Amino acid sequence: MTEKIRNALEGKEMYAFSAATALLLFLTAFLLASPDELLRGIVTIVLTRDALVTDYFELAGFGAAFFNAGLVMSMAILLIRLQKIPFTGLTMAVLFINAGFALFGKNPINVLPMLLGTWLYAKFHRSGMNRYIYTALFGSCLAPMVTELVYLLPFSFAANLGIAVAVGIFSGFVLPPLSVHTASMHMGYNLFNMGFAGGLFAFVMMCVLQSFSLESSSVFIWSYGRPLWLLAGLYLYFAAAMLFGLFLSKNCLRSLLKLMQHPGRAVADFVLMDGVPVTLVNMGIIGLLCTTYILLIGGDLSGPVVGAVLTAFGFAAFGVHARNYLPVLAGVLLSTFVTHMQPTTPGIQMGAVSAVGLAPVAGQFGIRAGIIAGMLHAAVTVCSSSLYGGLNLYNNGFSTGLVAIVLVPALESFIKGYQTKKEQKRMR
Amino acid sequence: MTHEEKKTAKIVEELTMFFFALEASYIDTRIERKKQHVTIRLEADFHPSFAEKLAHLDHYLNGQKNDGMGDIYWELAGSGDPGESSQLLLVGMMIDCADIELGADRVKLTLHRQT
Repeated sequence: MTEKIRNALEGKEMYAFSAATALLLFLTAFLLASPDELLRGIVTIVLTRDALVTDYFELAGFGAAFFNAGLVMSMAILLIRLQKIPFTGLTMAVLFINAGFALFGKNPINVLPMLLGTWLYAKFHRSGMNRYIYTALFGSCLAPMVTELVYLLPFSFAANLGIAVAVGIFSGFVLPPLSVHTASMHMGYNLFNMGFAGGLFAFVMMCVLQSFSLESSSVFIWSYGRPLWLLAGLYLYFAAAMLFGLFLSKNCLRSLLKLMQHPGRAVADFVLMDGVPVTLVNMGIIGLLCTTYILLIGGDLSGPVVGAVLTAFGFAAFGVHARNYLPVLAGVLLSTFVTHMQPTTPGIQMGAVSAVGLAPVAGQFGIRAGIIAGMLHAAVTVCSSSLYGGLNLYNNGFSTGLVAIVLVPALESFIKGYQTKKEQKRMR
Repeated sequence: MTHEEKKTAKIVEELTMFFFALEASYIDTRIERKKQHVTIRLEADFHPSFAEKLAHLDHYLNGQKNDGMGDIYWELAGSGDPGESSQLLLVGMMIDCADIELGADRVKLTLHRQT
């Protein structure tokens, strides 16, 4: 029987897992709220400005937030399927970042202009959309710019909407070439490449707006506390991911040790390199690790934190594992002992979980380098969002990009210099 | 130079870096360009102690082509530390298929890429 299920799922394991997750999000939504409440909640989410940080748990209720996450994730799965993109590690990362950020900023409406812009870019270059689908789906981090402009511009609602959509389309058009160059800037040591590219674009947009005396300001809507049902649900979900991996292959624990040898620098696609079963186990471990960290520090299971945990979970298929993440996480935590920030400061909670973006630094240069990267990230992430008034949802991606650009060349020269000296000593 | 030509150059750079890491003393590369097809031929020797590193060459190079990933990360090819397998995977995403002739201390690769 189990063999039959395994055979039926062969090659479709990650698709099945993603689709089941989207269904689970819908099911959770219907358990938490009536259809009428869900509808009202979705309308609230769509009509409200979404600048960072707008927690949909607080804004529209848990049910509507999960329903929104289910909608955005389903849209992403549909696009991936329509473009015949394989369900690799990067696909899992893009699906779960969309599900996660649909708890605080993305909705099925405000992501559309960016998708359209990238589609136009593909048409302009006479290429298929399948080449740019990842860029389009990651690029929806600029979704708040669309809703923000509708409320910020001084014209009629129709004119504001037209300009906002045009700017959204333009950003979707610009992001594909921009993201290629940002990847080479941090040399793959920042896993949230689009967060860095989006942050640069949002910063330029913010400056343009300010030159017209228009200023977008960050928002802070945050739900406090850790509902027991949500905590238990997250633990069960991540444990289920691990069990699914173990069901697919009982030998994957041995493969896990091999997976943890990868530095994690892009393009470390664990699905392609090590297979689906061990990747699922690794994803489950990272999900459990992040949730436990939030529990231990007494943090909040708010929309942004749960969204960040889901993002980390997805990126555990594309470069992140416990061995390269723990040093960076330790760095974020250690920084709170020497700075004015607390581990429970909302920005630091998100920063700690999203520090997965710098995991390749620890993977490549070692534990000490990872700790330094984490400490720097904690400092940068709390002030970087003010650069673009919350217009870029992937603020942590922007921060991890900056840290990687500054830190990696220094680490390379220091470590290579140290190795050369060591080699010379040995030769003598 | 178009991006497609730069990508071809990056593939050669990555493979060269990879074989440097395997202590190659001889690397010969040739590129043949036709209208929408590029063939990259590479012949290199390597120290026999690295034979294990080449065991997965087919898995990485003949994995599924992935234009989406290749288009975001192609500039990273050739930029990493020599011998990184994830960068070899990136090459695999940028080509259609590879013929691999593996000897005891020498390898011949023929990579085919539709542009």
